[in-house]
Amino acid sequence: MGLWNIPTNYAVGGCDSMAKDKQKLIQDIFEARYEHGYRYLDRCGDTLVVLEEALPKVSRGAVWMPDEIAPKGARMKCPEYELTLVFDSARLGLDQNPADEPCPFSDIADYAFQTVKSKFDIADVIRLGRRKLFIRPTDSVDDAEALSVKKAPFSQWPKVKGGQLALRSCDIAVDLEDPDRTKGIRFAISAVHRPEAPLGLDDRLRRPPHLLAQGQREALLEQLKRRRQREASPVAGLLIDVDYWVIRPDDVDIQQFLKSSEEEIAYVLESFMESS
Amino acid sequence: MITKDSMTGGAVDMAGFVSSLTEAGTNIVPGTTKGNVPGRKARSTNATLGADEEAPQLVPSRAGTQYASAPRGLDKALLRRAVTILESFDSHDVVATQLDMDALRGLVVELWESAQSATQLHQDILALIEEAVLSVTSLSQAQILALKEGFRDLANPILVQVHVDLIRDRLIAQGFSPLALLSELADDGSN
Repeated sequence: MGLWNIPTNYAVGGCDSMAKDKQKLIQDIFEARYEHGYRYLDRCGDTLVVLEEALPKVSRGAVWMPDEIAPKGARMKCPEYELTLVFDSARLGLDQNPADEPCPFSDIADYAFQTVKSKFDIADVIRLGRRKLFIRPTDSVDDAEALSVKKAPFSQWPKVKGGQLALRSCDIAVDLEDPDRTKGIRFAISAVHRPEAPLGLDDRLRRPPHLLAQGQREALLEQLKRRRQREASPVAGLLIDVDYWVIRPDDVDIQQFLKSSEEEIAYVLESFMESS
Repeated sequence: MITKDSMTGGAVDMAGFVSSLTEAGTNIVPGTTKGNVPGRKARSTNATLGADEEAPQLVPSRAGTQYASAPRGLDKALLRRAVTILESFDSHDVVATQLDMDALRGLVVELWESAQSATQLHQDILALIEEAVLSVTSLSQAQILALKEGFRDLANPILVQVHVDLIRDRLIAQGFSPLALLSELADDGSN
């Protein structure tokens, strides 16, 4: 056992998925919050009719359909891109989940917002937000936890009585804001998994197949299968949640905001992945 | 029960405490969390999970579909100016009203220059607006709202027929009519 009570195979870098895989975008969200959007109650139907007709032209022909219409809010879905658009008297949100399919996200967000702004006579935007969730895939729950500890900015915190307890996993969230609190980033990491994820992976399965005495082909196939699983649909991994926002922007330019949010999130993510 | 599900970006109930961090989060649209987002915790805790079921069936993309570029829209600066005039419109001040109405009419005329490169639908809405501002000498709050909606729609690069129909309905409902001036004159007539 190592210092953090992590099995030896991680300490020696035996976790093959940690070093090789890149993070995968799993969810992409845009949100605008506004004031005095009470005309939602009068104009919801008009807005849905306009968006149902117009959004396919912005979404490369993908079909949009109303999903739920109620006084508390309306929801539209685009199954082709797994997009969900919701709006009510206080906010508009566009959510792509899963974010596997490339789509004109910023065009759709901009168009939907401009439509809502026009129909509800929105004058004041309180907050614009962009949130992206990534996963750094691993093969097992143990790997995900080990990665969360490895990427944490501290090694021994807090101190505990005796020497039996050590860091097993980290669930961290930090807020970074400018002095006047008009712009910020929330950054969070945690180990996550699906129910079918194996708790751990036998060290023998990580060995290079050509070093095995027998069953090299089977071992190679297994490793390739695991790699494909990690790339296509990870069962476990490190969730990286980056949320960028601006409060009461002077110029409400959605395209510009989404562009700058891409850059800010990419920068934070890159610096995080390069660390430790 | 103590629950924590920061993936919902705010729906946190930790024995009555609310985390300021999660409140700041951009809200994830409820009901969209699907199979591709793994559970929040790697080990079983009392966290609220449930993001793991219903792996979505993805539809292949239409790789061959061309994304038609939108035609150049109307002059955005003029449209913004028109909305600004309407937002500060004061119908109680006679002089200011006259100035603002003249400015609006002038803006509409100028907009026709950039409308040449816009779509037929843009031109239809602009024609409706032009008809409206030429038919009145002042504006009510409801009329201002209808005109603002029209100008904001004109800023959209892509319009559909529904846009035009809605603006036409809105303007008619607010009393805009080419005969509005005549009806005012009729009040001074034999009736």
